Amino acid sequence: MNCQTARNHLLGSERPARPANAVAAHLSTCPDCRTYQQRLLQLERGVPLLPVAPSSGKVDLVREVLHGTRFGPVSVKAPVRGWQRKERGLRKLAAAFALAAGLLFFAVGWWVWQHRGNPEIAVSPTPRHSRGESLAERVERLSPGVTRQVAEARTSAERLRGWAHVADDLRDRVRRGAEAGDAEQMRDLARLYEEVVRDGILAHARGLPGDDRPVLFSIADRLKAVGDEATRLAEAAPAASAEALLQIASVARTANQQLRALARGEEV
Amino acid sequence: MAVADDNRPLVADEAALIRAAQGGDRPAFARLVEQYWDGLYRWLYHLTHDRHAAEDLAQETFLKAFRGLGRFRADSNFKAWLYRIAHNNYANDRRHAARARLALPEDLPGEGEGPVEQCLSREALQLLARAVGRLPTDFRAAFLLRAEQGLSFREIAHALGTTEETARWRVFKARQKLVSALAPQLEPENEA
Repeated sequence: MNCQTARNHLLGSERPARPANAVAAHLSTCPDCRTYQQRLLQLERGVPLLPVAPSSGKVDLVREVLHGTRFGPVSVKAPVRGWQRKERGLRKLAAAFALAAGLLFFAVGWWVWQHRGNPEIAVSPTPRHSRGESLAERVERLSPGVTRQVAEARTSAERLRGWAHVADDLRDRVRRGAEAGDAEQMRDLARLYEEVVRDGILAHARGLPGDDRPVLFSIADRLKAVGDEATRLAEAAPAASAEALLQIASVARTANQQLRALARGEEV
Repeated sequence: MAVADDNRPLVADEAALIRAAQGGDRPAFARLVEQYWDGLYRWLYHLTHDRHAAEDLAQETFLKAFRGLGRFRADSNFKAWLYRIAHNNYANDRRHAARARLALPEDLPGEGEGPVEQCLSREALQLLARAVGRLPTDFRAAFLLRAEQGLSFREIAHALGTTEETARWRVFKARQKLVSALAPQLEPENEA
């Protein structure tokens, strides 16, 4: 582990005083990084000592809570008898079944209507990788839970928003990884980002019904911001990270243009 | 329920206090105010740099929390929930009022001798206050929730309405900026 990586671990740790074993091993052999850790700890210990203007608000508020009028009585539910609870439960259950059946009926009808005479827009919700592992599975390995929105999506628009969320999560990882200068990690992130944009965002954007296409502008804005930020980061990043950052910037910019074209109703 | 005379540690009783407050027990809610006011006020003060604004926001936060207690789920984190309300209040206030609150707390009295000197020199503390005040608001909010309030990244994410990764990133950047800005003032402690 090099110094930059160790420091990044400290900066991104919940408890920099108790670093992970690998970081601790580095600290035990590197006086500069130990100094860096001590400065960070000193700084955090100073925060609770920062002066703030004295306030009498607590006393006033407690008095108000106890005796004032702004804190009216909390609405307390009347006790429910057993048979009433049972009946309410059954009613809720019946309503839930009816709703579920309605939704299912609507979803099937909608799907049939959408796919009648238009078979080419069926886009797999989880594009497959050549090795058999889906893109969603690989993203999940990196960020557990991040593809939930995609998995639970019922429409192309929801799925698209889900993939945009995945891209945002990768963007955050890129930001943090950029300064660590781990070339291999950045290359992996860049590849994954490209796949998420290509097979997740763009693929689903192409299958989006015309009425939903305005949503593409906001996703395009986010991609444009990623492109600009990745370019900026590349200028300051270690050489090992710069190449991957520029690749990400290029992917984001191209996708931004393609999404805008799709939003205007053009074919891409 | 006693309020002022009962000095038992509150955290263990928190769930019971919340349940009682949900049932309309005002003294129970007053105990929650006593427990959380100081931290919340400090956090809002560091965000606004204005005593009156911080007090108003803290009061409004507790009022909204009281009114919304019925929606609070017992298995969630009350502190993170409270800070989320406070952050929403702060964001709304900033959007609507756009008041200039740029003055940094330079004229505040010091905290006295003792812990300050054990940790940082008074001068370094002033510089730290300024450096924290100059952080972008999002970074400052996340950093203070971690460094002062001890919230986990997950709880910070909940309080600020963002993802855990973003919360971690904001704390990371805040720490990085502060260490870099204050390095000359932060003297490493002597190692044994």
